[in-house]
Amino acid sequence: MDVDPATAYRVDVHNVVHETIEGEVIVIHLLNGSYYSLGGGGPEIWERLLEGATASQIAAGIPNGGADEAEVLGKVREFLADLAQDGLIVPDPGANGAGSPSRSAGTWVPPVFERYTDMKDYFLLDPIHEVDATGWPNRQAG
Amino acid sequence: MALPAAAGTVAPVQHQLDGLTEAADAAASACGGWRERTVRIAGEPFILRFAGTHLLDALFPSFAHLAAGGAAAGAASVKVFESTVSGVARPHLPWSEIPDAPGEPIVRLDEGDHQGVADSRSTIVAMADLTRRRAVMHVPDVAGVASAEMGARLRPPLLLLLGALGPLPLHAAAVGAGERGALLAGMSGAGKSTLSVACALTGMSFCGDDYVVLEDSKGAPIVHALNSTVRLSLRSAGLLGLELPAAAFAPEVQEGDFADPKGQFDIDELAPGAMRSRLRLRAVVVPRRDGVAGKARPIGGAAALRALAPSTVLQSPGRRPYAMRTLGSLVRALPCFELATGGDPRAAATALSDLLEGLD
Repeated sequence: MDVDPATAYRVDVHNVVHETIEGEVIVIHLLNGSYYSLGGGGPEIWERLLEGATASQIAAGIPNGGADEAEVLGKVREFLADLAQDGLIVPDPGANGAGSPSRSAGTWVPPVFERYTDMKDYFLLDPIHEVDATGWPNRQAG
Repeated sequence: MALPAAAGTVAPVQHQLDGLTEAADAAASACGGWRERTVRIAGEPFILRFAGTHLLDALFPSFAHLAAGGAAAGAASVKVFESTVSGVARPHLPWSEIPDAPGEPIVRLDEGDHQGVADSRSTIVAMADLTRRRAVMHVPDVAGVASAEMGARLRPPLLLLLGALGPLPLHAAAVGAGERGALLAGMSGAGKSTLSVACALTGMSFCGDDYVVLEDSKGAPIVHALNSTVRLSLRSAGLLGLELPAAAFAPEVQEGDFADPKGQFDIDELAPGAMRSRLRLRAVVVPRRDGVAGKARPIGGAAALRALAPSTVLQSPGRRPYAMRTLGSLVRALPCFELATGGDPRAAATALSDLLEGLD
């Protein structure tokens, strides 16, 4: 999956919940039971995605400590591709929350994306189907 | 009187709940009336109404430790009925039907104030009206439900109602050394039950092996008990040195680790006096089955949150962001540890007791 550096993305708050603790973001996907740890520079990027930001805006705003800008943008795009592939973020062409950020001071730390599927396996073994009043297979709206 | 659905249409969810309530009332009439008990969970009063003495005797004992006397103004209520003895069938509830679904699913209805859960393994169905704080639960055949499953049967409607009352049900066990409690976090199969029973057998207190309720308070975190039963596998009973009748264990149909036969036992039978209705938490502990039994090491709050949050959050319909924030606050407030249980859960329990007593 390729991420257009000019397309804004936003955290899919309808289908995920998240909590940042000790420099790590824990994200749970509510529909499939997978959960994630975002480490390294991931929380910094995640913070910008909460406002709706493009890969270019993120790469221009996070600490890079003088690292090669193309390399930073490439890593950000890879990270966003992982998040988008798993449905944690969605394109949001109307977002303009990030604007033109000023770069934060600090060292460039590449983001780390870790996926845990043990709960997903549990889900598949013992799935919880959420339905509306008319029943299976009609999922509840929203 | 509920309005019947027109042919070819589906009754609105409120009418489905009304129909279920009417069936429960009819079952109670057929079985000598309601048998009532009041319990208090995390400070919240519940009136449990059983359609007949046979249901009271079968379902209430594992919640008897929560019995509360006196008036229960504003209490939430749960009506429980069955079909075999009463002769009253459960009305059709379209949301609870899953034709040709894979596995053995749990169905959850989440329509704002109306919540429901149907478990195809037990065929138990519960529906709740959160605004009116009322729930109804149907057990098809109380005699046909294996004793291994009976102890926790009242949990579904209570968990539904608790979802609207503030206290947060946690998918976790809780044990204590003196006044110092530990929340045992981990998904099904992580070893929570085995370790919590080992703790009870070695003199610690016990507050729950699978679900506890976190009090909605600003002070030190406190968890409250639900049922007093524990669910043990035959293998775990062997590791614990318990000699329990083989007939008490029923094989499970799933593959892999879940194939180990399971039985349900009241903690008071295994470790008399160990049950506590509440514990003040001093630590979060994540058991792991491998490693040297009893070896504990500090872990970060993020690692503890990964063990604690997914199953609790996913089972908190209607307030999952709140559940995630609450659990985040919990692991920030408490020291977190990983504890290896290895093949010796009693050794791990002793280590956990020492760990708790050594905390400042």
